[in-house]
Amino acid sequence: MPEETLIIKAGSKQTVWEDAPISRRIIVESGAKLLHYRLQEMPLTQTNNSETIIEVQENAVYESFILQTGAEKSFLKTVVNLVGEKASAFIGGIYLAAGKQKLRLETEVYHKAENTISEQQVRGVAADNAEGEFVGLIDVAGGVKAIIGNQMHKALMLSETAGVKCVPELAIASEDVKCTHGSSIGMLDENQLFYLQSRGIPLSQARFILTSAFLAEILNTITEENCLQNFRQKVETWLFVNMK
Amino acid sequence: MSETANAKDIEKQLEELTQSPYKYGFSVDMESESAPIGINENIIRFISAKKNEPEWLLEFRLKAYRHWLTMKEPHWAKVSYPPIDYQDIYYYSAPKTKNAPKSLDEVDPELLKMYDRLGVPLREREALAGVAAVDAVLDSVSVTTTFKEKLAKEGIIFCSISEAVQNHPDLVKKYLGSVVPYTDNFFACLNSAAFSDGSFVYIPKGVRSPMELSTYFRINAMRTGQFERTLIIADEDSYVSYLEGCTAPQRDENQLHAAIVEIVVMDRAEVKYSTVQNWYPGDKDGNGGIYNFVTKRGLCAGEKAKLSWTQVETGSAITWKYPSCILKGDNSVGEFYSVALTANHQQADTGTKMIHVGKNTSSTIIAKSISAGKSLSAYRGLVKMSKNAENAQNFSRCDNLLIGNECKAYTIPVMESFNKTARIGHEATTSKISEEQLFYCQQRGLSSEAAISLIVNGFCKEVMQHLPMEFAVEATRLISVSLEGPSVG
Amino acid sequence: MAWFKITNLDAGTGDKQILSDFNLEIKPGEVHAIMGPNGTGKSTLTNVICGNPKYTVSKGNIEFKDKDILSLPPEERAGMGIFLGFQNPIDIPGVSVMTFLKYATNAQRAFKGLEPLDAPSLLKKVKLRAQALGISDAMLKRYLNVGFSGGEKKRIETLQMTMLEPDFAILDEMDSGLDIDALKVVAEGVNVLKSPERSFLLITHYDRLLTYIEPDVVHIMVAGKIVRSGDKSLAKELEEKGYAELINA
Repeated sequence: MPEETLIIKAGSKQTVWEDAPISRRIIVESGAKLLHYRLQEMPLTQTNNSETIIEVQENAVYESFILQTGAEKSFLKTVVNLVGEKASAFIGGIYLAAGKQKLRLETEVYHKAENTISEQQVRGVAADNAEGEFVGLIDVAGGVKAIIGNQMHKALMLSETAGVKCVPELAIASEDVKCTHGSSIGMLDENQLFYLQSRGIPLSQARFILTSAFLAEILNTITEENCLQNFRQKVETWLFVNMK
Repeated sequence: MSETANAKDIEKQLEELTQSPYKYGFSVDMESESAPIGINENIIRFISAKKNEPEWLLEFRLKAYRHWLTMKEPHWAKVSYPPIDYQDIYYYSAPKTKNAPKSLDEVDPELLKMYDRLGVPLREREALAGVAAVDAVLDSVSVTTTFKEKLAKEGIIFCSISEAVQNHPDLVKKYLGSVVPYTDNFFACLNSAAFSDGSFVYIPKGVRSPMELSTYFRINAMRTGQFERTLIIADEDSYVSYLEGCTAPQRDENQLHAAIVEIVVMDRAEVKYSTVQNWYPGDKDGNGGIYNFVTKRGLCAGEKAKLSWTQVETGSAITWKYPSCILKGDNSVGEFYSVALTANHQQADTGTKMIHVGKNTSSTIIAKSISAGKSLSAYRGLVKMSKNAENAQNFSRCDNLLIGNECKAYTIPVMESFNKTARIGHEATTSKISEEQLFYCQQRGLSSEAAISLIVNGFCKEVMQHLPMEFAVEATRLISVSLEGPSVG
Repeated sequence: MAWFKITNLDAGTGDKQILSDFNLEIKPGEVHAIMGPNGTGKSTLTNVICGNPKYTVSKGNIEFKDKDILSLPPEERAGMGIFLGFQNPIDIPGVSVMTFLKYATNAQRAFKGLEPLDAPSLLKKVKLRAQALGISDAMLKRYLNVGFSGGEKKRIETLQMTMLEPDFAILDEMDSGLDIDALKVVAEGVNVLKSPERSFLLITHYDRLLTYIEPDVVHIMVAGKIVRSGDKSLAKELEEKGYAELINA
């Protein structure tokens, strides 16, 4: 149960950086904007089980990005409650699992007020004997109007022994809703690989390029420059180490 | 695939008469006897003896019953129902209905209106409405014989499970429980212990069934079949299209239905299983509605085997039903097409499971749900790619159409992959009927009801086109009729 | 009373008033054109005449065939003989063009107390008109407007008009996005329907359409009302001089 509460004052704009997961509550007050960047890079000897509950009030914006690559076992849960009109939330996430890791990213977004927007974009890569998991919920309460909710999850498997699980869930009780979600699990496209190879690029490099591009697609949604560079570097390092 | 005029004729005659399986070919007249209420080993022995079953089948039942005693009833978060007292049920030949209407005059006028709108022939309405002693009027020996002769010529076996146990015991013994073992789940276990009757189908090698096999005419059998068991076997290179259910709601004393449908598809064979069902809505207060817990599963055992489930369901029941495919044979194909329409206070929890075991297997799921009034509709899907499922592929699409602000739709697709070459893709949308679409139709002269009906049918089109022609026509009508009324639009 | 008359109409959406003190009268057998800059309320006008619930009328009335139609739902106005060729026709997935034509045709026949058209007659009627408009059989099987280009959508709108044979057809920017050939086809569809009992109201930006369909009256609409009316030469004048000059003239 999250103990700490962080309040982003009305009308203000703040960037919060977490280099390890913290369980807590966050309230983004009316008209405020929070950029929330979170890294889970714990040692492989540790496990993580954290939950963050965010309340987004009227006209406020919650923008977050999670990069999860560490710990032997990790359950990282984010709950977002859009309680005020015109509140919006953007949640980006990447999980990279290798070795024997079991990494899970879980998000729940609750649309409790009119005219709210949410977007969840998650990408995952699983290598070796690891298991990646994404569980995502969009819940729209009855009677709220003009809701837009989107969720997209894509995962790549790099080895014969890796596993990916995903549960994209929708619970809708209002008709004035435009909700979409999509999910795909697979491996790199052979045609794309061949195209690169036909231009002289060795297979291993081609795989690296395509996997990078796959992840860059959402990394590039990070608006804060320092964080973007930081995450980009970590992702490339991981790929370099884990792609064979 | 389409029936000849002659087959249609036969089918029509059959539709007017119902066949009680107990009346046919048994030494004992079952009609007037019934086991005491409740379930225990003695009652199971009684049932087995009454049916003249061989030892191995009694053992099958007893093993299942003993296992059932160790199991716990499952509960699901999204569907709610009052507790079931398993000792308060007749497991064999329920005495003729205590509250049964004596004639159509005593039947709920709303139900009669529904029959009218659906065009149900007058003679069938009594049977459907559960009017007592209707059986006595019906006689069907000669007609059934002609129908069976036609199938027998091809070597097709289509009879009740009870008959199959007597006449084709080897086939039943080999396949019963092979797709849904009694250990599978609580209700399947209960069914394995106490199953009453059901359909048995065997299509021999290389044979394409000349007609669609329909259980529509077995209305009466369905009425007593609360623990129905169906077993369909399609041998190599064969084809059969099987239809279950009907658009007219049936009154049923039996609140609990725990049925099992097992399908085995061999190399290069194809089975199409279609269901169109309009569950009895119960009375105004929702009493008398049906709990329907069905385990339906098909095994694509052979290479290039194909199984497709198509269902259109409306009405009120607490349904828990996940037609599934186990894609074991390499290159086998599983399909699931479904339309679920809920209105008023109805609840439906449905979906499918596609388990990919073999190489190059592929599955397609298209699930459409329409929720109106204060209803609740949940779709649960599982797509699992096991380690050996090289190059397997799945595509799923779930679309919800909500009408009004008091209904609720859940979509919970679970995807698991343990093979990197397997591809899983899923899309889902939730929307409402757009005002622009409505206005466009109205400007062309359609009333808003007609417009909603047209748009909804367009929404379901992708699924409807997989139903056999007759069923598709019935299903389309069923949807239009179900949309009428104060709860919608 | 009148055949078609709008009197002192105020209308808009939500809190925004778009039409103010709008007046227009059309007699049977006439072709009227309304031209005007964007955002001036032309689409609001067409939608209000047809009863789109998105728009509200706060003042004034609309009469058609001696009847006050403001209280009638859209399908009844259609049944009386009003047709709107939409500027941006919406798509209806799963419903083929042919199926939609069947429903619309029979709905309107029901209004007139006629039996639904039997399948062979319907098919014949549709094919004849489709051929004249350059619409293939394949297109008739496609889902209504799903994936259709702008030009294809306008042809389908025209097909519907020639099938339903309305007494009063309103065409909202039927010429936008069409090349010359498509334009000629659409115009022909209109001209073929011209009769002393039937009227047309053409909403357009360009006088190009009006060289193919000759108008009896041309109106210029600005800021929710008609500011000038004249005969077909007014369109030419507008083309040469532009709105600003004509309005201030």
